Amino acid sequence: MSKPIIKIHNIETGEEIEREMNDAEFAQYQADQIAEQARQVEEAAKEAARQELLDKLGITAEEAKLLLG
Amino acid sequence: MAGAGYKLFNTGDVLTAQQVNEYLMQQTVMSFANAAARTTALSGVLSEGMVSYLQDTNVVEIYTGASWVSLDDPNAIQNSLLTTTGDTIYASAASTPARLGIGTTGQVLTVAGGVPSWATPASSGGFTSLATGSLSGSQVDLTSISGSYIDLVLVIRDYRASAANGLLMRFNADSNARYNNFVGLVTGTTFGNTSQTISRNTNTSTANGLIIVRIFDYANTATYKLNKIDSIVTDETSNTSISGQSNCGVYNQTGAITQINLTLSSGTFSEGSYILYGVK
Repeated sequence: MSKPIIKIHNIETGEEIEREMNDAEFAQYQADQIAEQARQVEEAAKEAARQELLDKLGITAEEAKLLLG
Repeated sequence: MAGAGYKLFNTGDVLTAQQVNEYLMQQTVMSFANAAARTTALSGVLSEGMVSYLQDTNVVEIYTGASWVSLDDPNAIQNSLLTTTGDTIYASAASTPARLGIGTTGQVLTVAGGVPSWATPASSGGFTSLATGSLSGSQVDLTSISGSYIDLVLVIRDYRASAANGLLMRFNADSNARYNNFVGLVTGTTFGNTSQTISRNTNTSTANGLIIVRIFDYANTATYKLNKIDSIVTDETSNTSISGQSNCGVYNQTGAITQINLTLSSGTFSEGSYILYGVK
Protein backbone atom coordinates (compact mmCIF):
# COMPACT_ATOMS: atom_id res chain seq x y z
CA MET A 1 0.00 0.00 0.00
CA SER A 2 1.39 3.37 -0.99
CA LYS A 3 1.86 6.07 1.60
CA PRO A 4 0.62 9.67 1.32
CA ILE A 5 2.65 12.11 -0.73
CA ILE A 6 4.79 14.80 0.81
CA LYS A 7 5.98 17.80 -1.18
CA ILE A 8 9.32 19.31 -0.21
CA HIS A 9 10.14 22.79 -1.45
CA ASN A 10 13.76 23.74 -0.83
CA ILE A 11 13.71 27.52 -0.45
CA GLU A 12 17.45 27.89 -0.95
CA THR A 13 17.65 26.00 -4.24
CA GLY A 14 14.06 26.35 -5.43
CA GLU A 15 13.93 22.60 -5.98
CA GLU A 16 10.57 20.93 -5.46
CA ILE A 17 10.23 17.18 -5.06
CA GLU A 18 7.30 14.94 -4.25
CA ARG A 19 7.76 11.57 -2.64
CA GLU A 20 5.96 9.11 -0.43
CA MET A 21 6.18 9.73 3.28
CA ASN A 22 8.83 7.76 5.08
CA ASP A 23 7.89 5.58 8.06
CA ALA A 24 8.36 8.31 10.66
CA GLU A 25 6.40 10.84 8.66
CA PHE A 26 3.65 8.32 8.01
CA ALA A 27 3.42 7.46 11.69
CA GLN A 28 2.96 11.15 12.50
CA TYR A 29 0.42 11.47 9.70
CA GLN A 30 -1.58 8.60 11.17
CA ALA A 31 -1.37 10.14 14.63
CA ASP A 32 -2.72 13.41 13.21
CA GLN A 33 -5.57 11.52 11.57
CA ILE A 34 -6.50 9.82 14.82
CA ALA A 35 -6.36 13.12 16.69
CA GLU A 36 -8.59 14.74 14.09
CA GLN A 37 -11.11 11.91 14.32
CA ALA A 38 -11.14 12.23 18.10
CA ARG A 39 -11.63 15.97 17.79
CA GLN A 40 -14.55 15.50 15.43
CA VAL A 41 -16.16 12.94 17.73
CA GLU A 42 -15.73 15.30 20.66
CA GLU A 43 -17.17 18.19 18.70
CA ALA A 44 -20.14 16.11 17.60
CA ALA A 45 -20.76 15.04 21.20
CA LYS A 46 -20.64 18.65 22.34
CA GLU A 47 -23.05 19.67 19.61
CA ALA A 48 -25.44 16.86 20.56
CA ALA A 49 -25.28 17.83 24.23
CA ARG A 50 -25.88 21.46 23.34
CA GLN A 51 -28.89 20.58 21.22
CA GLU A 52 -30.25 18.32 23.94
CA LEU A 53 -30.04 21.18 26.41
CA LEU A 54 -31.71 23.57 24.02
CA ASP A 55 -34.51 21.06 23.48
CA LYS A 56 -34.92 20.65 27.21
CA LEU A 57 -35.15 24.41 27.62
CA GLY A 58 -37.44 24.71 24.63
CA ILE A 59 -35.43 27.51 23.01
CA THR A 60 -33.44 27.87 19.82
CA ALA A 61 -29.69 28.47 19.53
CA GLU A 62 -30.35 32.10 18.57
CA GLU A 63 -32.56 32.57 21.61
CA ALA A 64 -29.83 31.04 23.79
CA LYS A 65 -27.31 33.51 22.35
CA LEU A 66 -29.69 36.36 23.05
CA LEU A 67 -30.17 35.13 26.59
CA LEU A 68 -26.47 34.88 27.27
CA GLY A 69 -25.51 38.03 25.41
CA MET B 1 51.25 89.21 -41.28
CA ALA B 2 48.36 88.55 -38.93
CA GLY B 3 50.30 90.03 -36.04
CA ALA B 4 50.49 93.38 -37.67
CA GLY B 5 48.35 94.79 -34.89
CA TYR B 6 46.39 98.01 -35.22
CA LYS B 7 47.03 100.97 -37.51
CA LEU B 8 45.35 104.32 -37.06
CA PHE B 9 44.64 105.80 -40.48
CA ASN B 10 44.64 109.58 -40.73
CA THR B 11 42.99 111.81 -43.27
CA GLY B 12 44.79 111.59 -46.59
CA ASP B 13 46.58 108.29 -45.83
CA VAL B 14 46.88 105.92 -48.77
CA LEU B 15 45.60 102.38 -48.09
CA THR B 16 47.89 99.90 -49.75
CA ALA B 17 47.12 96.32 -50.78
CA GLN B 18 49.59 95.12 -48.18
CA GLN B 19 47.80 97.07 -45.46
CA VAL B 20 44.44 95.62 -46.53
CA ASN B 21 45.91 92.12 -46.39
CA GLU B 22 47.76 92.55 -43.11
CA TYR B 23 45.48 94.80 -41.08
CA LEU B 24 42.11 93.64 -42.42
CA MET B 25 42.15 90.32 -44.20
CA GLN B 26 44.56 88.51 -41.93
CA GLN B 27 43.15 89.86 -38.66
CA THR B 28 39.46 89.03 -39.14
CA VAL B 29 37.61 85.87 -38.13
CA MET B 30 37.39 84.09 -41.46
CA SER B 31 34.47 81.76 -42.00
CA PHE B 32 34.87 78.55 -44.02
CA ALA B 33 32.59 75.67 -44.85
CA ASN B 34 35.11 73.23 -43.40
CA ALA B 35 38.84 72.72 -42.80
CA ALA B 36 39.49 71.61 -46.38
CA ALA B 37 38.00 74.80 -47.77
CA ARG B 38 40.15 76.78 -45.37
CA THR B 39 43.30 74.98 -46.48
CA THR B 40 42.53 75.72 -50.08
CA ALA B 41 41.71 79.38 -49.48
CA LEU B 42 44.70 80.11 -47.29
CA SER B 43 47.28 78.16 -49.27
CA GLY B 44 50.44 80.27 -49.36
CA VAL B 45 49.14 83.01 -47.07
CA LEU B 46 48.92 81.20 -43.71
CA SER B 47 50.14 83.42 -40.93
CA GLU B 48 50.47 82.94 -37.16
CA GLY B 49 47.55 84.48 -35.28
CA MET B 50 44.93 83.90 -38.00
CA VAL B 51 41.50 83.07 -36.63
CA SER B 52 38.88 81.03 -38.47
CA TYR B 53 35.40 79.70 -37.90
CA LEU B 54 34.46 76.30 -39.35
CA GLN B 55 30.78 76.09 -40.25
CA ASP B 56 30.57 72.29 -40.20
CA THR B 57 31.85 71.92 -36.62
CA ASN B 58 31.00 75.35 -35.23
CA VAL B 59 34.55 75.67 -33.90
CA VAL B 60 36.71 78.77 -33.74
CA GLU B 61 40.39 77.94 -34.30
CA ILE B 62 43.65 79.86 -34.25
CA TYR B 63 46.72 79.21 -36.37
CA THR B 64 49.84 78.81 -34.21
CA GLY B 65 52.27 79.05 -37.12
CA ALA B 66 52.37 75.27 -37.28
CA SER B 67 48.75 74.11 -37.02
CA TRP B 68 45.17 75.12 -36.30
CA VAL B 69 44.06 74.65 -32.68
CA SER B 70 40.67 75.08 -31.09
CA LEU B 71 40.05 78.23 -29.11
CA ASP B 72 38.47 76.51 -26.13
CA ASP B 73 37.71 78.45 -23.01
CA PRO B 74 40.04 76.94 -20.40
CA ASN B 75 37.38 77.54 -17.77
CA ALA B 76 34.69 75.72 -19.70
CA ILE B 77 33.82 72.12 -18.79
CA GLN B 78 35.05 69.92 -21.60
CA ASN B 79 32.83 67.41 -23.39
CA SER B 80 35.54 64.81 -23.01
CA LEU B 81 34.91 64.75 -19.29
CA LEU B 82 31.76 62.75 -19.93
CA THR B 83 32.56 59.33 -21.31
CA THR B 84 29.43 57.30 -20.67
CA THR B 85 25.69 57.74 -21.00
CA GLY B 86 24.29 58.78 -17.65
CA ASP B 87 27.50 60.37 -16.38
CA THR B 88 27.08 63.50 -14.28
CA ILE B 89 29.43 66.30 -13.29
CA TYR B 90 30.18 67.47 -9.77
CA ALA B 91 32.84 69.60 -8.08
CA SER B 92 35.50 67.42 -6.49
CA ALA B 93 36.96 70.64 -5.06
CA ALA B 94 36.24 74.32 -5.55
CA SER B 95 36.31 75.16 -9.28
CA THR B 96 37.22 71.56 -10.12
CA PRO B 97 34.76 69.71 -12.29
CA ALA B 98 34.84 65.91 -12.00
CA ARG B 99 32.98 63.04 -13.56
CA LEU B 100 30.60 60.83 -11.60
CA GLY B 101 30.02 57.67 -13.61
CA ILE B 102 26.48 56.37 -13.84
CA GLY B 103 25.46 53.96 -11.09
CA THR B 104 23.59 50.72 -11.48
CA THR B 105 19.84 50.16 -11.62
CA GLY B 106 18.20 50.84 -8.29
CA GLN B 107 21.08 52.83 -6.85
CA VAL B 108 20.42 56.25 -5.38
CA LEU B 109 22.54 59.37 -5.16
CA THR B 110 24.07 59.85 -1.75
CA VAL B 111 26.95 61.72 -0.16
CA ALA B 112 30.10 60.06 1.12
CA GLY B 113 33.20 61.94 2.19
CA GLY B 114 31.68 65.22 1.16
CA VAL B 115 31.13 64.30 -2.47
CA PRO B 116 28.21 62.67 -4.26
CA SER B 117 28.25 59.00 -5.14
CA TRP B 118 25.84 56.27 -6.18
CA ALA B 119 24.90 53.71 -3.55
CA THR B 120 22.52 50.80 -3.19
CA PRO B 121 19.80 51.83 -0.74
CA ALA B 122 19.64 49.86 2.47
CA SER B 123 16.67 47.55 2.32
CA SER B 124 14.27 47.82 5.19
CA GLY B 125 10.64 47.06 5.69
CA GLY B 126 10.30 45.26 2.39
CA PHE B 127 8.83 41.87 1.65
CA THR B 128 10.93 39.45 -0.36
CA SER B 129 9.15 36.51 -1.93
CA LEU B 130 11.19 33.46 -0.94
CA ALA B 131 8.96 30.75 -2.39
CA THR B 132 5.68 30.24 -4.15
CA GLY B 133 3.96 27.01 -5.03
CA SER B 134 0.87 24.87 -4.99
CA LEU B 135 -0.37 22.82 -2.09
CA SER B 136 -0.33 19.17 -3.04
CA GLY B 137 -0.20 15.73 -1.49
CA SER B 138 -0.89 15.46 2.22
CA GLN B 139 1.98 17.59 3.44
CA VAL B 140 4.11 20.45 2.17
CA ASP B 141 7.51 21.16 3.70
CA LEU B 142 9.26 24.48 3.11
CA THR B 143 12.88 23.72 3.88
CA SER B 144 16.26 25.49 4.01
CA ILE B 145 14.77 28.84 4.95
CA SER B 146 17.39 31.56 5.07
CA GLY B 147 17.96 33.20 8.44
CA SER B 148 18.73 36.58 6.97
CA TYR B 149 15.32 38.17 7.53
CA ILE B 150 13.61 39.57 10.58
CA ASP B 151 10.22 37.89 10.18
CA LEU B 152 8.59 35.37 7.90
CA VAL B 153 5.11 35.78 6.49
CA LEU B 154 3.32 32.77 5.08
CA VAL B 155 0.29 33.43 2.90
CA ILE B 156 -1.98 30.55 1.89
CA ARG B 157 -4.74 31.17 -0.59
CA ASP B 158 -7.75 29.07 -1.49
CA TYR B 159 -6.78 26.08 0.60
CA ARG B 160 -9.17 23.16 0.22
CA ALA B 161 -8.77 19.48 0.96
CA SER B 162 -10.44 16.24 0.03
CA ALA B 163 -11.83 15.79 3.53
CA ALA B 164 -12.88 17.96 6.44
CA ASN B 165 -9.71 18.72 8.29
CA GLY B 166 -7.46 21.03 10.19
CA LEU B 167 -4.44 22.53 8.51
CA LEU B 168 -1.55 21.95 10.88
CA MET B 169 1.73 23.84 11.03
CA ARG B 170 4.97 22.62 12.55
CA PHE B 171 8.49 23.96 12.62
CA ASN B 172 11.69 22.12 11.82
CA ALA B 173 9.72 18.85 11.40
CA ASP B 174 9.20 18.82 15.16
CA SER B 175 6.07 16.84 16.09
CA ASN B 176 6.69 16.79 19.83
CA ALA B 177 4.29 18.48 22.24
CA ARG B 178 5.96 21.87 22.00
CA TYR B 179 3.19 24.08 20.59
CA ASN B 180 0.32 26.11 21.92
CA ASN B 181 -2.18 28.72 20.83
CA PHE B 182 -3.63 31.55 22.85
CA VAL B 183 -5.84 34.60 22.52
CA GLY B 184 -5.53 37.60 24.80
CA LEU B 185 -3.85 37.42 28.19
CA VAL B 186 -2.92 33.92 29.36
CA THR B 187 -0.95 32.50 32.27
CA GLY B 188 0.12 29.00 33.14
CA THR B 189 -0.25 27.80 29.57
CA THR B 190 1.41 24.48 28.85
CA PHE B 191 2.81 23.21 25.58
CA GLY B 192 0.51 20.28 25.06
CA ASN B 193 0.03 20.36 21.31
CA THR B 194 2.09 18.54 18.72
CA SER B 195 1.28 21.17 16.09
CA GLN B 196 -0.51 24.46 15.59
CA THR B 197 -3.84 24.47 13.77
CA ILE B 198 -3.77 27.46 11.47
CA SER B 199 -7.14 26.82 9.84
CA ARG B 200 -10.00 24.38 9.94
CA ASN B 201 -11.84 23.73 6.73
CA THR B 202 -14.76 21.40 6.38
CA ASN B 203 -15.83 22.70 3.01
CA THR B 204 -14.42 20.30 0.44
CA SER B 205 -16.05 21.90 -2.59
CA THR B 206 -15.29 25.63 -2.42
CA ALA B 207 -12.08 27.46 -1.69
CA ASN B 208 -12.15 31.18 -1.05
CA GLY B 209 -10.07 31.20 2.06
CA LEU B 210 -7.05 33.20 3.08
CA ILE B 211 -4.54 32.31 5.78
CA ILE B 212 -1.77 34.62 6.91
CA VAL B 213 0.85 33.58 9.44
CA ARG B 214 3.58 35.95 10.57
CA ILE B 215 6.46 34.28 12.36
CA PHE B 216 8.35 36.85 14.41
CA ASP B 217 12.12 36.92 14.91
CA TYR B 218 12.27 33.38 13.62
CA ALA B 219 16.06 33.17 13.27
CA ASN B 220 17.03 34.13 16.79
CA THR B 221 18.50 31.33 18.86
CA ALA B 222 17.66 32.71 22.28
CA THR B 223 13.88 32.77 22.66
CA TYR B 224 10.78 30.69 22.14
CA LYS B 225 9.13 31.43 18.82
CA LEU B 226 5.96 33.45 18.45
CA ASN B 227 3.62 33.71 15.52
CA LYS B 228 0.34 35.40 14.69
CA ILE B 229 -2.32 33.56 12.75
CA ASP B 230 -5.26 35.11 10.92
CA SER B 231 -7.37 32.93 8.70
CA ILE B 232 -10.75 32.63 7.09
CA VAL B 233 -12.30 29.82 5.10
CA THR B 234 -15.71 29.35 3.58
CA ASP B 235 -18.03 27.98 6.18
CA GLU B 236 -18.86 24.32 6.34
CA THR B 237 -22.58 24.84 5.97
CA SER B 238 -22.79 27.67 3.48
CA ASN B 239 -20.53 29.31 0.95
CA THR B 240 -21.98 32.65 1.95
CA SER B 241 -20.58 32.56 5.45
CA ILE B 242 -17.09 32.05 6.80
CA SER B 243 -15.20 30.43 9.60
CA GLY B 244 -12.13 32.14 10.89
CA GLN B 245 -9.57 32.35 13.59
CA SER B 246 -7.20 34.97 14.94
CA ASN B 247 -4.74 33.96 17.58
CA CYS B 248 -1.11 33.72 18.57
CA GLY B 249 0.94 30.56 18.41
CA VAL B 250 3.96 29.59 20.44
CA TYR B 251 6.69 27.05 19.80
CA ASN B 252 8.82 26.44 22.86
CA GLN B 253 12.16 25.90 21.18
CA THR B 254 14.98 28.44 20.94
CA GLY B 255 16.62 27.21 17.74
CA ALA B 256 16.20 29.16 14.53
CA ILE B 257 13.29 28.11 12.36
CA THR B 258 14.63 26.76 9.10
CA GLN B 259 11.65 24.68 8.06
CA ILE B 260 7.87 25.03 8.01
CA ASN B 261 5.74 21.91 7.67
CA LEU B 262 2.13 22.16 6.57
CA THR B 263 0.15 19.01 6.98
CA LEU B 264 -3.51 18.02 6.88
CA SER B 265 -5.17 16.23 9.72
CA SER B 266 -7.23 14.42 7.14
CA GLY B 267 -7.30 13.91 3.37
CA THR B 268 -5.12 15.47 0.71
CA PHE B 269 -4.80 18.97 -0.69
CA SER B 270 -7.27 19.55 -3.53
CA GLU B 271 -6.43 23.16 -4.11
CA GLY B 272 -4.44 26.05 -2.74
CA SER B 273 -1.22 27.99 -3.09
CA TYR B 274 1.41 29.35 -0.77
CA ILE B 275 3.79 32.30 -0.74
CA LEU B 276 6.53 32.62 1.82
CA TYR B 277 7.94 36.11 2.34
CA GLY B 278 11.02 37.20 4.18
CA VAL B 279 10.51 40.55 5.89
CA LYS B 280 13.37 42.93 6.57
